[in-house]
Amino acid sequence: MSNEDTSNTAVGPNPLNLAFDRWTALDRDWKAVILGTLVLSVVLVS
Amino acid sequence: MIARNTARVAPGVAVLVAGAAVAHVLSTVVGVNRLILAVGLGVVVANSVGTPEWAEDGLATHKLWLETGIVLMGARIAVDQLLSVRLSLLVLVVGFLGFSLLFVELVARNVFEIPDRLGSLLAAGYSICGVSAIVAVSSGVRAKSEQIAYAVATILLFDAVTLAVYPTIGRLLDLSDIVFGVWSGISMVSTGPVVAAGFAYSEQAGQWATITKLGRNVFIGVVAVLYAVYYARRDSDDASAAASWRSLWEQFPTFVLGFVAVAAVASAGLIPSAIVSLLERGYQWLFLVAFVGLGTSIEIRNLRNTGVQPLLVVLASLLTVSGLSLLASLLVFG
Repeated sequence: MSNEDTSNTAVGPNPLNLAFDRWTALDRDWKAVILGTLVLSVVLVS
Repeated sequence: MIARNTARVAPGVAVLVAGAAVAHVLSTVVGVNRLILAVGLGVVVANSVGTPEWAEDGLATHKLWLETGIVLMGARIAVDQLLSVRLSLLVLVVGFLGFSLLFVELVARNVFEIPDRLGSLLAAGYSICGVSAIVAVSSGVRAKSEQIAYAVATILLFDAVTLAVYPTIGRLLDLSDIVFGVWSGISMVSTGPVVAAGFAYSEQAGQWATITKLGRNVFIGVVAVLYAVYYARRDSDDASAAASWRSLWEQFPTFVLGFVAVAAVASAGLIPSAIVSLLERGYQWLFLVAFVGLGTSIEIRNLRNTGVQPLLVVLASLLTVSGLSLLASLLVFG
Protein backbone atom coordinates (compact mmCIF):
# COMPACT_ATOMS: atom_id res chain seq x y z
CA MET A 1 0.00 0.00 0.00
CA SER A 2 1.37 3.41 -0.84
CA ASN A 3 1.86 6.21 1.71
CA GLU A 4 -0.79 8.27 -0.02
CA ASP A 5 -3.48 5.58 0.45
CA THR A 6 -2.72 5.23 4.17
CA SER A 7 -3.02 8.96 4.89
CA ASN A 8 -6.34 9.25 3.05
CA THR A 9 -7.92 6.42 5.05
CA ALA A 10 -6.63 7.70 8.37
CA VAL A 11 -7.52 11.38 8.04
CA GLY A 12 -10.95 11.23 6.35
CA PRO A 13 -12.79 14.34 5.12
CA ASN A 14 -11.61 17.64 6.53
CA PRO A 15 -14.32 18.92 8.98
CA LEU A 16 -13.66 22.47 7.84
CA ASN A 17 -14.35 21.46 4.26
CA LEU A 18 -17.50 19.63 5.38
CA ALA A 19 -18.75 22.70 7.23
CA PHE A 20 -17.96 24.85 4.21
CA ASP A 21 -19.82 22.43 1.92
CA ARG A 22 -22.88 22.68 4.15
CA TRP A 23 -22.64 26.47 4.21
CA THR A 24 -22.39 26.61 0.41
CA ALA A 25 -25.43 24.35 0.05
CA LEU A 26 -27.54 26.54 2.38
CA ASP A 27 -30.35 28.71 1.04
CA ARG A 28 -29.47 32.45 0.94
CA ASP A 29 -32.19 33.34 3.46
CA TRP A 30 -30.76 30.95 6.05
CA LYS A 31 -27.26 32.28 5.44
CA ALA A 32 -28.58 35.77 6.24
CA VAL A 33 -30.19 34.51 9.48
CA ILE A 34 -26.95 32.76 10.53
CA LEU A 35 -24.74 35.74 9.65
CA GLY A 36 -27.06 38.16 11.46
CA THR A 37 -27.18 35.95 14.56
CA LEU A 38 -23.42 35.53 14.47
CA VAL A 39 -22.82 39.29 14.29
CA LEU A 40 -25.33 39.89 17.11
CA SER A 41 -23.70 37.20 19.27
CA VAL A 42 -20.19 38.54 18.68
CA VAL A 43 -21.09 42.14 19.60
CA LEU A 44 -23.06 41.01 22.64
CA VAL A 45 -20.23 38.82 23.94
CA SER A 46 -17.35 41.21 23.23
CA MET B 1 -11.58 24.04 -1.70
CA ILE B 2 -12.35 26.76 0.84
CA ALA B 3 -9.49 28.83 -0.51
CA ARG B 4 -10.72 28.36 -4.09
CA ASN B 5 -14.31 29.35 -3.25
CA THR B 6 -13.20 32.33 -1.19
CA ALA B 7 -10.95 33.45 -4.03
CA ARG B 8 -13.94 33.19 -6.39
CA VAL B 9 -16.18 35.45 -4.26
CA ALA B 10 -13.68 37.79 -2.55
CA PRO B 11 -12.80 40.07 -5.51
CA GLY B 12 -16.45 40.96 -6.19
CA VAL B 13 -17.15 41.52 -2.49
CA ALA B 14 -14.08 43.78 -2.36
CA VAL B 15 -15.55 45.75 -5.30
CA LEU B 16 -18.85 46.12 -3.39
CA VAL B 17 -17.06 47.34 -0.26
CA ALA B 18 -14.89 49.75 -2.27
CA GLY B 19 -18.02 51.07 -4.05
CA ALA B 20 -19.74 51.57 -0.69
CA ALA B 21 -16.72 53.51 0.62
CA VAL B 22 -16.66 55.70 -2.51
CA ALA B 23 -20.43 56.38 -2.19
CA HIS B 24 -19.95 57.29 1.48
CA VAL B 25 -17.12 59.75 0.75
CA LEU B 26 -18.87 61.19 -2.33
CA SER B 27 -22.07 61.85 -0.39
CA THR B 28 -20.21 64.10 2.04
CA VAL B 29 -18.78 66.03 -0.93
CA VAL B 30 -21.82 66.38 -3.20
CA GLY B 31 -24.51 66.29 -0.50
CA VAL B 32 -26.56 63.52 -2.15
CA ASN B 33 -27.85 60.58 -0.10
CA ARG B 34 -25.17 57.85 -0.02
CA LEU B 35 -27.62 55.00 -0.65
CA ILE B 36 -28.79 56.59 -3.90
CA LEU B 37 -25.14 57.26 -4.81
CA ALA B 38 -24.28 53.59 -4.12
CA VAL B 39 -27.01 52.37 -6.49
CA GLY B 40 -26.06 55.04 -9.07
CA LEU B 41 -22.39 54.08 -8.89
CA GLY B 42 -23.27 50.43 -9.55
CA VAL B 43 -25.53 51.34 -12.50
CA VAL B 44 -22.86 53.61 -14.06
CA VAL B 45 -20.09 51.00 -13.73
CA ALA B 46 -22.24 48.10 -15.00
CA ASN B 47 -23.48 50.07 -18.00
CA SER B 48 -20.26 51.84 -19.01
CA VAL B 49 -17.15 49.71 -18.49
CA GLY B 50 -19.21 46.66 -17.48
CA THR B 51 -18.64 44.29 -14.57
CA PRO B 52 -15.53 42.13 -15.02
CA GLU B 53 -16.02 38.37 -15.05
CA TRP B 54 -13.70 37.88 -12.07
CA ALA B 55 -16.01 40.04 -9.91
CA GLU B 56 -19.37 38.54 -10.92
CA ASP B 57 -19.65 35.84 -8.22
CA GLY B 58 -18.87 38.34 -5.48
CA LEU B 59 -21.23 41.00 -6.88
CA ALA B 60 -24.03 38.42 -6.91
CA THR B 61 -23.80 38.20 -3.09
CA HIS B 62 -25.49 41.61 -2.73
CA LYS B 63 -28.87 40.11 -1.78
CA LEU B 64 -27.21 38.20 1.07
CA TRP B 65 -25.85 41.48 2.51
CA LEU B 66 -29.27 43.12 2.14
CA GLU B 67 -31.01 40.26 3.96
CA THR B 68 -28.35 40.13 6.70
CA GLY B 69 -28.79 43.90 7.14
CA ILE B 70 -32.56 43.44 7.47
CA VAL B 71 -32.04 40.72 10.13
CA LEU B 72 -29.82 43.11 12.14
CA MET B 73 -32.30 45.96 11.61
CA GLY B 74 -34.65 43.98 13.87
CA ALA B 75 -32.65 45.39 16.81
CA ARG B 76 -33.66 48.96 15.89
CA ILE B 77 -37.37 48.40 15.35
CA ALA B 78 -39.69 50.18 17.76
CA VAL B 79 -41.82 47.10 18.47
CA ASP B 80 -44.26 48.98 20.72
CA GLN B 81 -44.93 51.52 17.95
CA LEU B 82 -45.32 48.70 15.45
CA LEU B 83 -47.76 46.81 17.68
CA SER B 84 -49.87 49.93 18.09
CA VAL B 85 -50.51 50.09 14.34
CA ARG B 86 -50.31 46.37 13.55
CA LEU B 87 -53.96 45.92 12.60
CA SER B 88 -54.16 48.96 10.30
CA LEU B 89 -50.82 48.05 8.67
CA LEU B 90 -51.84 44.42 8.20
CA VAL B 91 -55.17 45.42 6.66
CA LEU B 92 -53.40 47.81 4.26
CA VAL B 93 -50.73 45.25 3.28
CA VAL B 94 -53.14 42.36 2.73
CA GLY B 95 -55.79 44.57 1.10
CA PHE B 96 -53.42 46.13 -1.41
CA LEU B 97 -51.67 42.81 -2.08
CA GLY B 98 -54.98 41.21 -3.05
CA PHE B 99 -56.07 44.30 -4.99
CA SER B 100 -52.75 44.47 -6.93
CA LEU B 101 -52.90 40.78 -7.84
CA LEU B 102 -56.45 41.04 -9.16
CA PHE B 103 -55.86 44.39 -10.85
CA VAL B 104 -52.81 43.19 -12.80
CA GLU B 105 -54.58 39.95 -13.77
CA LEU B 106 -57.70 41.81 -14.97
CA VAL B 107 -55.82 44.53 -16.85
CA ALA B 108 -53.44 41.98 -18.43
CA ARG B 109 -56.23 39.65 -19.59
CA ASN B 110 -59.05 42.06 -20.44
CA VAL B 111 -57.42 45.33 -21.49
CA PHE B 112 -54.08 44.36 -23.04
CA GLU B 113 -55.00 40.73 -23.82
CA ILE B 114 -51.55 39.37 -23.07
CA PRO B 115 -51.15 35.59 -22.42
CA ASP B 116 -52.60 34.47 -19.06
CA ARG B 117 -49.31 32.99 -17.86
CA LEU B 118 -47.35 36.18 -18.55
CA GLY B 119 -50.11 38.17 -16.81
CA SER B 120 -49.81 35.92 -13.75
CA LEU B 121 -46.03 36.35 -13.62
CA LEU B 122 -46.46 40.14 -13.76
CA ALA B 123 -49.21 40.02 -11.11
CA ALA B 124 -47.06 38.00 -8.69
CA GLY B 125 -43.95 40.04 -9.47
CA TYR B 126 -45.64 43.39 -8.98
CA SER B 127 -47.82 42.57 -5.98
CA ILE B 128 -45.33 40.62 -3.87
CA CYS B 129 -41.59 40.90 -4.27
CA GLY B 130 -40.42 41.31 -7.85
CA VAL B 131 -38.06 38.84 -9.45
CA SER B 132 -38.12 36.40 -6.48
CA ALA B 133 -41.91 36.13 -6.77
CA ILE B 134 -41.72 35.64 -10.54
CA VAL B 135 -39.24 32.80 -10.05
CA ALA B 136 -41.33 31.34 -7.21
CA VAL B 137 -44.58 31.18 -9.20
CA SER B 138 -43.06 30.40 -12.62
CA SER B 139 -43.07 26.62 -12.21
CA GLY B 140 -46.65 26.54 -10.87
CA VAL B 141 -47.79 28.86 -13.66
CA ARG B 142 -45.82 26.71 -16.16
CA ALA B 143 -44.58 29.82 -17.91
CA LYS B 144 -42.32 29.71 -20.94
CA SER B 145 -38.78 30.95 -20.46
CA GLU B 146 -39.29 33.98 -22.72
CA GLN B 147 -42.35 34.97 -20.65
CA ILE B 148 -40.23 34.78 -17.50
CA ALA B 149 -37.57 36.93 -19.19
CA TYR B 150 -40.18 39.54 -20.24
CA ALA B 151 -41.69 39.66 -16.76
CA VAL B 152 -38.28 39.94 -15.07
CA ALA B 153 -37.12 42.74 -17.40
CA THR B 154 -40.40 44.65 -16.89
CA ILE B 155 -40.20 44.40 -13.10
CA LEU B 156 -36.51 45.43 -13.04
CA LEU B 157 -37.33 48.47 -15.16
CA PHE B 158 -39.96 49.59 -12.66
CA ASP B 159 -37.56 48.91 -9.78
CA ALA B 160 -35.10 51.36 -11.33
CA VAL B 161 -37.75 53.99 -12.11
CA THR B 162 -39.54 53.88 -8.75
CA LEU B 163 -36.25 54.01 -6.83
CA ALA B 164 -35.51 57.36 -8.47
CA VAL B 165 -39.05 58.76 -8.46
CA TYR B 166 -40.50 57.82 -5.04
CA PRO B 167 -38.15 59.82 -2.77
CA THR B 168 -38.60 62.85 -5.06
CA ILE B 169 -42.42 62.64 -4.87
CA GLY B 170 -42.20 62.08 -1.11
CA ARG B 171 -40.18 65.30 -0.70
CA LEU B 172 -42.44 67.28 -3.04
CA LEU B 173 -45.52 66.22 -1.05
CA ASP B 174 -43.64 66.62 2.24
CA LEU B 175 -44.82 63.20 3.42
CA SER B 176 -44.15 62.15 7.00
CA ASP B 177 -41.68 59.30 7.57
CA ILE B 178 -44.36 56.74 8.37
CA VAL B 179 -46.59 57.69 5.42
CA PHE B 180 -43.66 57.56 2.99
CA GLY B 181 -42.42 54.25 4.43
CA VAL B 182 -45.80 52.52 4.34
CA TRP B 183 -46.62 53.93 0.89
CA SER B 184 -43.34 52.77 -0.68
CA GLY B 185 -43.53 49.43 1.17
CA ILE B 186 -47.00 48.77 -0.27
CA SER B 187 -46.65 50.06 -3.82
CA MET B 188 -43.00 49.76 -4.93
CA VAL B 189 -41.88 46.42 -6.31
CA SER B 190 -38.73 44.59 -5.08
CA THR B 191 -37.31 44.56 -1.55
CA GLY B 192 -33.92 46.14 -2.39
CA PRO B 193 -35.31 49.30 -4.02
CA VAL B 194 -37.98 49.66 -1.30
CA VAL B 195 -35.31 49.59 1.44
CA ALA B 196 -33.06 51.94 -0.57
CA ALA B 197 -35.84 54.46 -1.25
CA GLY B 198 -37.03 54.30 2.36
CA PHE B 199 -33.62 54.89 3.95
CA ALA B 200 -32.79 57.52 1.33
CA TYR B 201 -35.85 59.39 2.62
CA SER B 202 -35.03 58.97 6.33
CA GLU B 203 -34.00 56.36 8.88
CA GLN B 204 -37.58 56.08 10.22
CA ALA B 205 -39.08 55.89 6.73
CA GLY B 206 -36.59 53.15 5.88
CA GLN B 207 -37.68 51.08 8.86
CA TRP B 208 -41.40 51.48 8.05
CA ALA B 209 -40.78 50.71 4.38
CA THR B 210 -38.85 47.54 5.26
CA ILE B 211 -41.44 46.27 7.76
CA THR B 212 -44.29 46.93 5.32
CA LYS B 213 -42.41 45.22 2.50
CA LEU B 214 -41.58 42.20 4.66
CA GLY B 215 -45.30 41.98 5.44
CA ARG B 216 -45.91 41.59 1.69
CA ASN B 217 -43.03 39.15 1.18
CA VAL B 218 -44.33 36.57 3.67
CA PHE B 219 -47.30 35.93 1.36
CA ILE B 220 -45.07 34.68 -1.44
CA GLY B 221 -45.62 31.03 -0.49
CA VAL B 222 -49.42 31.39 -0.33
CA VAL B 223 -49.59 33.13 -3.71
CA ALA B 224 -47.21 30.60 -5.34
CA VAL B 225 -49.36 27.72 -4.09
CA LEU B 226 -52.62 29.42 -5.18
CA TYR B 227 -51.24 29.93 -8.69
CA ALA B 228 -49.96 26.34 -8.83
CA VAL B 229 -53.42 25.04 -7.82
CA TYR B 230 -55.21 27.32 -10.28
CA TYR B 231 -53.09 26.33 -13.27
CA ALA B 232 -53.01 22.65 -12.27
CA ARG B 233 -56.84 22.60 -12.10
CA ARG B 234 -57.16 24.52 -15.32
CA ASP B 235 -54.79 22.17 -17.10
CA SER B 236 -56.65 19.21 -15.48
CA ASP B 237 -53.70 17.91 -13.48
CA ASP B 238 -53.44 16.74 -9.90
CA ALA B 239 -53.93 19.96 -7.94
CA SER B 240 -53.27 18.37 -4.54
CA ALA B 241 -49.59 17.81 -5.37
CA ALA B 242 -49.09 21.51 -6.00
CA ALA B 243 -50.70 22.65 -2.75
CA SER B 244 -48.55 21.03 -0.10
CA TRP B 245 -47.37 22.61 3.13
CA ARG B 246 -43.87 21.76 1.99
CA SER B 247 -44.12 24.00 -1.06
CA LEU B 248 -45.56 26.77 1.15
CA TRP B 249 -42.55 26.50 3.46
CA GLU B 250 -40.05 26.27 0.58
CA GLN B 251 -41.20 29.63 -0.76
CA PHE B 252 -41.25 31.35 2.63
CA PRO B 253 -38.61 34.12 2.96
CA THR B 254 -36.92 32.63 6.05
CA PHE B 255 -34.70 35.64 6.71
CA VAL B 256 -37.89 37.36 7.98
CA LEU B 257 -37.78 34.90 10.91
CA GLY B 258 -34.30 36.18 11.77
CA PHE B 259 -35.59 39.76 11.66
CA VAL B 260 -38.53 38.89 13.96
CA ALA B 261 -36.24 36.98 16.38
CA VAL B 262 -33.77 39.89 16.66
CA ALA B 263 -36.67 42.35 17.09
CA ALA B 264 -38.08 40.15 19.89
CA VAL B 265 -34.71 39.96 21.66
CA ALA B 266 -34.26 43.75 21.37
CA SER B 267 -37.79 44.56 22.54
CA ALA B 268 -37.23 42.33 25.60
CA GLY B 269 -34.44 44.76 26.55
CA LEU B 270 -31.68 42.18 26.13
CA ILE B 271 -29.57 44.36 23.83
CA PRO B 272 -27.94 47.43 25.47
CA SER B 273 -28.49 50.73 23.63
CA ALA B 274 -24.77 51.11 22.84
CA ILE B 275 -24.88 47.75 21.06
CA VAL B 276 -28.05 48.77 19.20
CA SER B 277 -26.20 51.87 17.89
CA LEU B 278 -23.32 49.64 16.81
CA LEU B 279 -25.71 47.27 15.03
CA GLU B 280 -27.40 50.24 13.38
CA ARG B 281 -24.09 51.37 11.90
CA GLY B 282 -23.47 47.76 10.87
CA TYR B 283 -26.72 47.30 8.95
CA GLN B 284 -26.41 50.74 7.34
CA TRP B 285 -23.04 49.68 5.91
CA LEU B 286 -24.43 46.31 4.85
CA PHE B 287 -27.21 48.15 2.98
CA LEU B 288 -24.65 50.42 1.35
CA VAL B 289 -22.60 47.42 0.18
CA ALA B 290 -25.78 45.66 -1.03
CA PHE B 291 -26.97 48.70 -2.97
CA VAL B 292 -23.75 48.96 -4.98
CA GLY B 293 -24.49 45.36 -6.05
CA LEU B 294 -28.14 46.22 -6.69
CA GLY B 295 -26.93 48.97 -9.05
CA THR B 296 -24.62 46.61 -10.93
CA SER B 297 -27.57 44.25 -11.49
CA ILE B 298 -29.51 46.96 -13.35
CA GLU B 299 -28.44 46.52 -16.98
CA ILE B 300 -30.12 49.15 -19.14
CA ARG B 301 -29.53 47.07 -22.29
CA ASN B 302 -31.62 44.22 -20.84
CA LEU B 303 -34.37 46.58 -19.71
CA ARG B 304 -34.94 47.50 -23.36
CA ASN B 305 -36.06 43.90 -23.93
CA THR B 306 -39.41 44.51 -22.22
CA GLY B 307 -42.43 44.26 -24.45
CA VAL B 308 -44.69 47.32 -24.66
CA GLN B 309 -47.79 45.53 -23.39
CA PRO B 310 -46.27 44.03 -20.19
CA LEU B 311 -44.81 47.45 -19.53
CA LEU B 312 -48.20 49.15 -19.90
CA VAL B 313 -49.86 46.56 -17.67
CA VAL B 314 -47.44 47.22 -14.82
CA LEU B 315 -47.49 50.99 -15.44
CA ALA B 316 -51.30 51.08 -15.18
CA SER B 317 -51.16 48.95 -12.02
CA LEU B 318 -48.37 50.98 -10.44
CA LEU B 319 -50.17 54.30 -11.05
CA THR B 320 -53.44 52.94 -9.64
CA VAL B 321 -51.99 51.10 -6.63
CA SER B 322 -49.53 53.89 -5.88
CA GLY B 323 -52.23 56.57 -5.96
CA LEU B 324 -54.71 54.59 -3.87
CA SER B 325 -52.12 53.40 -1.34
CA LEU B 326 -50.81 56.93 -0.91
CA LEU B 327 -54.34 58.10 -0.12
CA ALA B 328 -54.88 55.18 2.26
CA SER B 329 -51.53 55.75 4.02
CA LEU B 330 -52.34 59.45 4.43
CA LEU B 331 -55.79 58.64 5.82
CA VAL B 332 -54.52 56.03 8.28
CA PHE B 333 -51.12 57.43 9.30
CA GLY B 334 -51.15 61.05 8.12
